Amino acid sequence: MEADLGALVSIAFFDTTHGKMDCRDCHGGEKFAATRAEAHEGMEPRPSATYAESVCAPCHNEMTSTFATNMHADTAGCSSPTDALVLARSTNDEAVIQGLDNNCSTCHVSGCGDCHVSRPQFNDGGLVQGHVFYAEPNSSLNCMGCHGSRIQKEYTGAGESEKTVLKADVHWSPGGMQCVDCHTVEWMHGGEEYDNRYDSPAAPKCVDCHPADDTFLAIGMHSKHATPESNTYLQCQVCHAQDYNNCTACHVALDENDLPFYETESSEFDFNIGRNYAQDDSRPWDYIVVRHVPVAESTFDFYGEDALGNYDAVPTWKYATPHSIQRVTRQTQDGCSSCHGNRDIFLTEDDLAGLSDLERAANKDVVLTEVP
Amino acid sequence: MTIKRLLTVAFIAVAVMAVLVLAGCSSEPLVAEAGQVTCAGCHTDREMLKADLAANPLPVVEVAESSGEG
Repeated sequence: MEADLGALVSIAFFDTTHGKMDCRDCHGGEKFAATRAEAHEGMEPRPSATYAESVCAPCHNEMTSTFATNMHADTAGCSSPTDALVLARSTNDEAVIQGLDNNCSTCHVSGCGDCHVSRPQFNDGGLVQGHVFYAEPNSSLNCMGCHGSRIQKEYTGAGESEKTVLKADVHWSPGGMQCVDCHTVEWMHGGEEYDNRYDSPAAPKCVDCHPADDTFLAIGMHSKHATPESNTYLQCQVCHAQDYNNCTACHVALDENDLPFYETESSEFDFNIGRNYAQDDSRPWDYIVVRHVPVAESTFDFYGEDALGNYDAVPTWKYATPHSIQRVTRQTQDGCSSCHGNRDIFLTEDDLAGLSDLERAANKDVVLTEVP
Repeated sequence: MTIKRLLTVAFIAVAVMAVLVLAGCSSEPLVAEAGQVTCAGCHTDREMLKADLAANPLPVVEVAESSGEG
């Protein structure tokens, strides 16, 4: 978005509740000025950045007061022992946390405005509707502005797989479902402490809309594989996810000007079923879909050599919930034989070939020794 | 209407406006005084914004080049 358009306020804004206020009530600055510099003196372009202490709080306290517990505000929810991308692997927390702070925490939202008035600052901002506030974030401009390489490509069918032709997630097309239809305000605005993003009671679940009722169980495969009583209980995505994005070997560092950058070795759309390495009440399945995360043994070497000394502490193929749902996928198109005996869709020793002993050990609870 | 009633109405109107202003419900002036600009006066006019940005370019934010998918 061009800078002038990004700062352009529509006349329609002045008919809204927020438009009835004086600009300075939120942004500060000088009311009347002869020059641009004078007008912008003391101005705060992002007055919602401090949430509970921000200008939004007096009127929207029920949301701003809890937002700090939401993982859009920091990295909480992505750092539990079973799902940590890096910390569980760390033998040099100081180095790893320095790298996380410099390179990894910068994409989290920088205020209420990132979802409710402008594109995220991560994408250089820009007012979406001429400063008119909107309750529901725009899926394309707000959510996918940050969640691009995985969610956007999977959900809109923009990814490419060497193994199959990918369609958009059926919920997006023809479903027309927006991100907020599943990721509800109760989850987005926080209020609960949890170690793992999947542990929030408000996290979306397939059964919220697709309960295991008679209609559901009338489908043979569902009665065989989709109930706790099934001999082999499968996560829904095991049958209904299309290929999804997997990244490898991200390295983070600072350049000669102390500016953070990353280099990801590769990314590829693929599909793998793994053993459920963290089975519990919220993830009761025997088999799950797993995605390779971009960590490598040397990811944080710039900050401390061998900082990930416990690289084998958690899998590098992680529990995943791809946004690439279709009724017919390469796991369902030919009935039982689509999966049974089809080594290509399972995470096997073949997928670990060439990897280090530590990475092989990291995935020992995920990889299948025999294909069902 | 008597003068007393007019004064009462005027007093109430002024009081209500004062309360609104003190409560932060003041509205943005769209028209500036001569020789000056207001927030809305500039930010609702794209040509003025373009000219302003041409005369006062935004500071260049230095970002290191990353590669691959983030």
